[in-house]
Amino acid sequence: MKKYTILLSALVLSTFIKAQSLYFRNFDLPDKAPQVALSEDELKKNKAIILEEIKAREMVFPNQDDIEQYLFTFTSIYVNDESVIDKLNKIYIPVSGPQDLVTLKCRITKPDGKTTELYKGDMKTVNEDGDDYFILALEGVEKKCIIEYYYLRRTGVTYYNSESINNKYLVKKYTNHMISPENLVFVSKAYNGLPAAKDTMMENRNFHTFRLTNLEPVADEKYTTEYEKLMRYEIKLDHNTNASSKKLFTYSDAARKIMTNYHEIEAGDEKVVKKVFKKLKLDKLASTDEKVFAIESFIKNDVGQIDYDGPGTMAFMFSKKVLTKFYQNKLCVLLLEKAGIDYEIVSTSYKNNHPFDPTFESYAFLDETMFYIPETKKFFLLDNYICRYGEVPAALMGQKGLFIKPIKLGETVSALNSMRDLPPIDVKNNYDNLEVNINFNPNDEKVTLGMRRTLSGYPAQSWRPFYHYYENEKKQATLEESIKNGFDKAKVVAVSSQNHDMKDFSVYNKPYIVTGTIEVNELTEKAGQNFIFKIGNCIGPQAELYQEEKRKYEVYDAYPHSYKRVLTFTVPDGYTLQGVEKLSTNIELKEGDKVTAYFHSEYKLEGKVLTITVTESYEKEFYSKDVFEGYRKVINAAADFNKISLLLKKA
Amino acid sequence: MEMRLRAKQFILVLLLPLWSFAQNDSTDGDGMVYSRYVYKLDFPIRSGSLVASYQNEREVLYLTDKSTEANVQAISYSNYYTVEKEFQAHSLIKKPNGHYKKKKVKEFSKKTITSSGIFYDDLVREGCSFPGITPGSKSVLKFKSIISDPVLTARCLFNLELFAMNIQCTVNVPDYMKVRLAFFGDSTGITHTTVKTATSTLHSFSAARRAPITYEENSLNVMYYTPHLIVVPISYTLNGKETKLAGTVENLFSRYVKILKEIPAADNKELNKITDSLTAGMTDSAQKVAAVFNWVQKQIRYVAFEEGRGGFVPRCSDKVIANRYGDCKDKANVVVTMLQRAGVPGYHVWIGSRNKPYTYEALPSPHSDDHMIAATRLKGEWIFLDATASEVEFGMPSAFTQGKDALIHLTDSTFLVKQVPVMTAARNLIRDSLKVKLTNNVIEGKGTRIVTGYIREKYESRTAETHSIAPDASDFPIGNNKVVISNLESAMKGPGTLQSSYEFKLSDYVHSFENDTYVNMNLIKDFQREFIELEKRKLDIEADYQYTISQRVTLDIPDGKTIAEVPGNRSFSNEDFSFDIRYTKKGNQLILEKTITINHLILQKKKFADWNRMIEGLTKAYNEVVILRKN
Repeated sequence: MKKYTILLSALVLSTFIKAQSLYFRNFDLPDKAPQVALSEDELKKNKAIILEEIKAREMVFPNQDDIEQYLFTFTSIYVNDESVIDKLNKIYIPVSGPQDLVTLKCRITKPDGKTTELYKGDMKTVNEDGDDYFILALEGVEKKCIIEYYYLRRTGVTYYNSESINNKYLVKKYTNHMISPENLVFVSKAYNGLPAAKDTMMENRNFHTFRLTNLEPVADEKYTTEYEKLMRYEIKLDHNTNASSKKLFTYSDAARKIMTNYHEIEAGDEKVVKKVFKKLKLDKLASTDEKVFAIESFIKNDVGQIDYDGPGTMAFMFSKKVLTKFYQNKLCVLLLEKAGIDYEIVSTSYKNNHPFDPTFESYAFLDETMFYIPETKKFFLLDNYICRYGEVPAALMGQKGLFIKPIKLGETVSALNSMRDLPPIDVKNNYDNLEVNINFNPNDEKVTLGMRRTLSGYPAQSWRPFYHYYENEKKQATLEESIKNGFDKAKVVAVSSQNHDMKDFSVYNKPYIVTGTIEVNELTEKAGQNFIFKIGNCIGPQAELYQEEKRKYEVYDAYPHSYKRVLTFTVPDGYTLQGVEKLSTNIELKEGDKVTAYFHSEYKLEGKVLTITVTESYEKEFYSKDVFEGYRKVINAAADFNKISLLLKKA
Repeated sequence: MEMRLRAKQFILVLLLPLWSFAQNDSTDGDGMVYSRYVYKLDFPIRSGSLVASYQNEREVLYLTDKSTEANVQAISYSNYYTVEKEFQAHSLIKKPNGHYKKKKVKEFSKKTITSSGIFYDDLVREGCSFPGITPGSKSVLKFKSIISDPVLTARCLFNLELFAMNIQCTVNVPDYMKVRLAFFGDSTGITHTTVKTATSTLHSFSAARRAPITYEENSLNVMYYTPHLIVVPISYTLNGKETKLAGTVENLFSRYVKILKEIPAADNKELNKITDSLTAGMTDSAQKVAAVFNWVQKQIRYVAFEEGRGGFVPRCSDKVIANRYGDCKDKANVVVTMLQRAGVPGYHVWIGSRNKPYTYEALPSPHSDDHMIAATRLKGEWIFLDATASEVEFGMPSAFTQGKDALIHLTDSTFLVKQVPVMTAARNLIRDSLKVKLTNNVIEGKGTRIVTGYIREKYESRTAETHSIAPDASDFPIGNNKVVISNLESAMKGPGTLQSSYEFKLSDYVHSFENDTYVNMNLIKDFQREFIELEKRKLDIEADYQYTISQRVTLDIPDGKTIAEVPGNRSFSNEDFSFDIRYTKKGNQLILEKTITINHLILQKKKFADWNRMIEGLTKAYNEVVILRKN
C-alpha cells in the first residue's frame, strides 16, 4: 500500500561519499570509572546521580543507495541509595531485530574498586507486548557503586525529530550529538533553557551538539503541561551542500507531497468513491454541513481503522471494512471533491506537549491531519472517534497550523500552503450544567436527588461517545456513572439520556442531556435530633489546590469551560434550616479589567424552598504562574463550597 | 477495600504447556464459544524413559461480527521441556448452503513471553490468525507435543475462558506405569469412564455446556473454583526396573533432592566472609538468623531467570552473591548456606503460594508449589524465612504463603510437611492516636501511627519508584481534603514496627450553628460504604492477610463549652470481622475509640450479607456527630 509519507524517496541526499564507519563504533569505557566528585548537598538530595550521559544519532551512507541511522547511548550513574537499585539494575534496549544491536558494554564498579563487565553476549531477547527488547540484568549493583554502560543500535532514519530531555535524576554532564556526513547540514532550535547547539566538523562529519551541566530532575505539579517542564529541542535536516542549495523538508514540499499522495489514484478507488457517494446520498443532502457530517460519520462508524504497513489498495481494504489512517483521509478527500465541497487540509501539533512553533519549519510539528471547510469555517479530524465535525481535540486549536489547499491544474493536483491561525476554543460552547432537586426524608435518613445534567462541547466528550459506542452493560454503566456525578455508592433509581446518537445529524452537536434520580446516604450526619446536611456536596466533587508551594509552571487546563448548577432543596416538615448565609460567595480572578475565572454562588429561600445557583467559569486554558494565586482561589472556592453544611433543626 | 494489597507473585516452577488465560488477544470472548475442546494425554517410552505426549485441540465457533475480529488463537509451552511439537490449524468457513469450506493456515508466529514478575523465562507462545472467519465459521487449532518430563503435564480444566459446548479429556495409562488421577473441584456434570485395553487403561472425562470461568477482582485463583484434573505419574516399570516419579510425597521429595544435588558447587569464599562479619560476636541463634535473613532480603535483589532447569535448580551461591541478584530459590539457597556457615541449622523448603489450592498430600506433584523459601528451628519452633519478600519482618512468613504446606528438606532422606502459620489480626496492626483541640472551628492536632506486620509492608509495595517504606501525607485521610499534614516523621521502633508522628490542621470540617458546635470525631472513616454488591458479586473475596485497625481520637473540650450530645456506642461482631466504636468522657476530654478486626483470609459468599450489616453499622456510626454547647 501507499504509506502516508511525506519523506523524499530514497534521497535527494544521495550524493554518495565513501562509506564511513560509525563514529562511536569503537567507543570504549575509560580504563577506570570516574572519580566521584559530588557535593554534600548533591549527595543528600539525590538517590542516584547521572555523572555523564552522551546521546548521539548518526546518519551514514553504507553504500550508494542506502542511508542508515544509529543511536549511541553512554551513561554513567552513581548509585547513592539502596532504594533505587531495583530501578537501575536492569537495562532494556528496544530493537527491531537482534542484528540491530551493534555494541554493548556495561561495567559495574563497586565501592572497593572491584569491577564486573558485561557484554552483548550476556543479553537476552524478549518480546513484551509485541515489542522486541534486549534485556540485561546488571550484576553486583549495590549502594555507592558506579554503573557505566554504552550501546550502539540501528534505528529508523529520522530527518526531523523532537526530543525532550527527561531527567528523573540529577545529570552532571549531558551531551547530545546529531552526527551526519559532511554534506548534510542539520539545524535545530532549543527550548526551555536548553542552550543552543553548536556545529563542529571532525573526521568528515558534522557534529550538531547540545551540551549541558547540572540538569535538575523535574518537579511534579497539578495542571501542567509536559512541554514546559522539560528541556527540549527540535531538529531537522536543512540542506545538502553537494546538491543545489535548496532547502530540504520545507512546508511547501510537505504540502505538495500530501496533496499528491491523496490524489494518486489506484485501481478500484473510483468504484469505492462512487459506492459510498451513492450510499450516503451526497447529491441529495441539502447543506454542506449535512454532507460533510455524513462523510465523517460513515468513516467513523462504518469503517474500522487499522494500523497496517503491507501491500494492498484502498479498495482492497475497504472490501474488508477497514482503512488505514491515510486511506481514511484519502477517501474523505475524494468524496469531498466529488460532492463539490471546498476543503483544506490542516496539519499541526498538540500544544500541551509540543506546541506548534511557526518560526521553526519541521515536519515534527505535523502531528495530526485535519480537514477545514472554508464555507462553514468548521474543522474535523478523522483519526479521533470522540470528536465530530465542528470539534477537534482542544490542544490542536488556538495556535498556528499549516493549511494546505488543493490546486487543480487539469489532471494534476498541486497545493498551496499557508501558515494561519487556528481559532481558540470559546468558553461559551463548553459547559457542564446541573440541576438538582434535593429531597430529604428524616425518618429513614435517605436523600433522593432528581438530576438533570446538560453537557456541551468538550465536557460532553467525556460521556456521549462512550454511550454511543458501548453496548449492553457497559452502555448502562457509563450512563449511570454520568448521573452519579461523583456519588460512587449512590443507588440509581432511574436514568436516561437525550441527544446521544452521534450518527444523527439533527442531534450530534446538541447538548448531551442525562436525566435521572439517585439515592444517596452520605449527605447527612445525625446530631441528636438534628441533622447536618452536607449540601455543598450536591455540586459533585471538586478539584482542589490547597497546597501552598510556590508555583513553578503555568497552569494548563485543557480548554475553557464553565459550570452552572442550580440546587433546589425542600426543607422537610418539622424542621428549620440554619446556616444558609454561607451559601453566598463570589471569587474572581481578574487580569487587567477582564475576569478570566470565577466562582459565584447565591441563594434564595422562599418558604420551605431553598434555591442555590452556582456558576463557575474558566475562560482560558493557560494561566500564567503570576496569576496562579488568583486561579488557586477560584479552584479552592469550588472545593470549599463542597464543605458547606446546613443544620436541619427539629422544631 | 482500602487496606487490601495484592501480594507480589513469585513463581518458581514452570507448568507446561502453560494454560493461557490471555488466549483471546483482542476480545473478552463475547460472541465466541468452544464448540469442541480436547485434551489427550499419553505416556510413551522414548529412548528408554517415560515421556508425556500431550495434545490439545481447540475448535472455536464465532457467532457475531465482532467476534470474528478475534480470530487469533495461540498456545503457550516451555521451549525447554517440549522436545517435539507440531501445530496444525485451519478455518472452517461457513458457506451459504450451511456447509463449511476448509482453509488451511500456513503461517504460525511465536514469541517468547514473560510471566508477571519474571525478568526472563523461556516460555513460548505460538499461534496463528485464521483466514476468512465470518459469523458461523469455526477455527481449529491442534497442538501435539512430547514433554520430556512426564511429571510436568498440563492440567485439564472443565471450565474455560469461553463457554464450551463440549470438553473431552482422555488419559491413556499404559500398563507399565502407575498414575494418580487427581481431580479438584466440583465434578457435577463431568462423566468419567474407564476402558481396559490390551496394554493400557483408557480414562475419558467429558462434559458438555460448560460455563466460562468467572473472573472478579480480589478473588481466589481460578484453580480454587474451576474443576480440573491433574495426572500425576507415580512410577513406571521397564525391563523389570521400577522408576519412581511423583504421586506420593516421598517420590516428589526424592525428585527434589535430585534437583538440590544439581546446584553447582561453590567455594563460598565471599559468602563466608559476609556471614562471618554479619554474625561476628553473636552467640544467640535467633540473632544470627535475623542478621542473615535481613541481609539476603535487602542485598540480594529479586531478578528471576526461568530458563530450562534453571526454573527449578538454584544457582550457585557464589554467583548469586557476586551478582547481588537472584530469584526465590537462589535467595533461599543463600540463606540456607549462610545459616550453615553461622552454625545454625538451615533448610530448603518447597512451598506453593496461596495461588495454589493444593496440599502436598492431595497433590504430590510440582503443580503443588511455585516457590522456595528457607526454614530454621529456633527453640523448637519452625521459623519460615522468605527473603524474596523484601520487607517482611523476620519471624513472619510471607503473606502469600500463610496457611500453605511447606515441604522441608531435613536431610537427603528425611523431610517434613509443616503448615505455615496464618498470622493473627493482632500481629498486623495499624494504630492511630490523634489528640485534637478546637479553636474557632479549626481542628489542630497531633497524630501518631504505629504499623506492624504485613501492614508495614504495604507502604513498601506502593512506592515503586523510590522504594522507601514510610507513609506520606496521603496516607492520613483525616476529615476532608483540606487537611494539612506537617512535620511527618517516620522511624522504626523495634523490629517490624514503624512509627510515624505528624501534626495536622483541619478546617471547614467542624460546623457551628447558633450556640452549638458539631464535631464528627470519626476523623478517619475506614470501610465507609464498602458494601458488597450482593446481586453482582459471585465469588469469595480473598484478603492478603488478617489485620486490626485501631484508632483513638482524644478531643479537648474547649473552654466555655460543654458536651451536649454524644453518639451512642456501636459494634458488630462475628468470627470473621468486627468493629467497635465507643465514646468515653474523661475530665475535659472526650475520647473516641474504634477497633476494626479483619479476621479472615477468605470472605465467603455466605458471609456477604453479614459483611454488609457490619458496613451499615459502621457507616451509621460515621454519620453521628458530637454536639458541644456554649455555656
